[in-house]
Amino acid sequence: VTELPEQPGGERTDAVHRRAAPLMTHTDATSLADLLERVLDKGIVIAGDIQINLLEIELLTIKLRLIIASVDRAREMGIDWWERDPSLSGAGDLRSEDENRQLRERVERLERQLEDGSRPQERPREEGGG
Amino acid sequence: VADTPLGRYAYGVVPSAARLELEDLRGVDGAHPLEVVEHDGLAAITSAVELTEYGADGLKRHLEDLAWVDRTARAHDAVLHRALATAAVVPLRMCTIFESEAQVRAMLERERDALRAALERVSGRAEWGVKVLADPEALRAAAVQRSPELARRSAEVEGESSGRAYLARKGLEQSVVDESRRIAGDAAREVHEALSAHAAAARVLPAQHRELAGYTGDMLLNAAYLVDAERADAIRALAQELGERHRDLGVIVQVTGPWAPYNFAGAER
Repeated sequence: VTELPEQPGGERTDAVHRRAAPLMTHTDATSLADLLERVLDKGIVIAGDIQINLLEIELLTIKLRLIIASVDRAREMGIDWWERDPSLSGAGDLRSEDENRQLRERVERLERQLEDGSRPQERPREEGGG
Repeated sequence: VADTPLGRYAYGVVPSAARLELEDLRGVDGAHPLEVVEHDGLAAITSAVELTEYGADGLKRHLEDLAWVDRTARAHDAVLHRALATAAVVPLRMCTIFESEAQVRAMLERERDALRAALERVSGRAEWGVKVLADPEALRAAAVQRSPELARRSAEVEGESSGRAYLARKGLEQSVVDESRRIAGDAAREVHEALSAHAAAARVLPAQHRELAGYTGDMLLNAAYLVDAERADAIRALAQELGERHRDLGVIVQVTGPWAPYNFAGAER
């Protein structure tokens, strides 16, 4: 029987987690981006019984990242926090052009897969031979 | 008629010996309590969810709703954050849902080896997020200031209005952009390497979307570090210090955490 890892002593972790006002406590000041890049993008992926297939989550993350392209839709949903901050102009990101291009390509690829009616965990084509 | 079928939403996995304090929390639906499902030394933190809302159709609808996603993500994370306070925890991706408790047990059985290995990796550690933001204007100013050549060219075109000066100014602008990128890249690399040295593991994440994350300027670094509990204070202090060091770049270092080890629980993707 594999031995399970020892847990951190409750008190010790507690102290580390709660002592000393953090620069940014993760529950109060966490941006949606911080949260989603973890909760949605990461964590162990285990297929549950309920198949929202991975593709939908991937598309969602891409959508969220490209939300700038659908500001109107976001506004419809009441997501408009940046409008309250006049300094958020969105100019001159060193990486955004490249990243946007990559994401656009990814969306196109995923859209093609969607149209093919295939899921990422399935093979789009039949395996040759056999 | 009020009888809707219930499924099991699974948040994460802890050793079954863990003493969790989840009594005052509710599941993602805000209604059902959290329940631990144990199997062979492992325990999944779960809550019941109505399959009308959390079945395939319901989820498909909800995932289009950013407010729902926001709420659910926060609830999912709140559970894992609480678990992290007293246990090693392996986070599962949001919306990992099973049809029954028995199916959760079957999952624990099926994934036992991977889960145990993951728990071992993250035991006694937490994830910390570090972002480095820079002010593009300050970056450009630093580029000119640090380079004698750029400073000279900059002085030359100052106040000039000839066509030649216009071209020179164009060329200069491009050089300044290139140089500020180089400076930004160096600063980001320095911060990441210094922090990585204190971490059990490190991951660089894509720069966040400006609107979604609500920041201005350039995100030079967005990274996650898996840090031993006893080194958490040290790595945070170091992040601060590194920010100070690059103050002239208009750098802001943001530290978030402790997070459940989202970026370090699974296999590399």
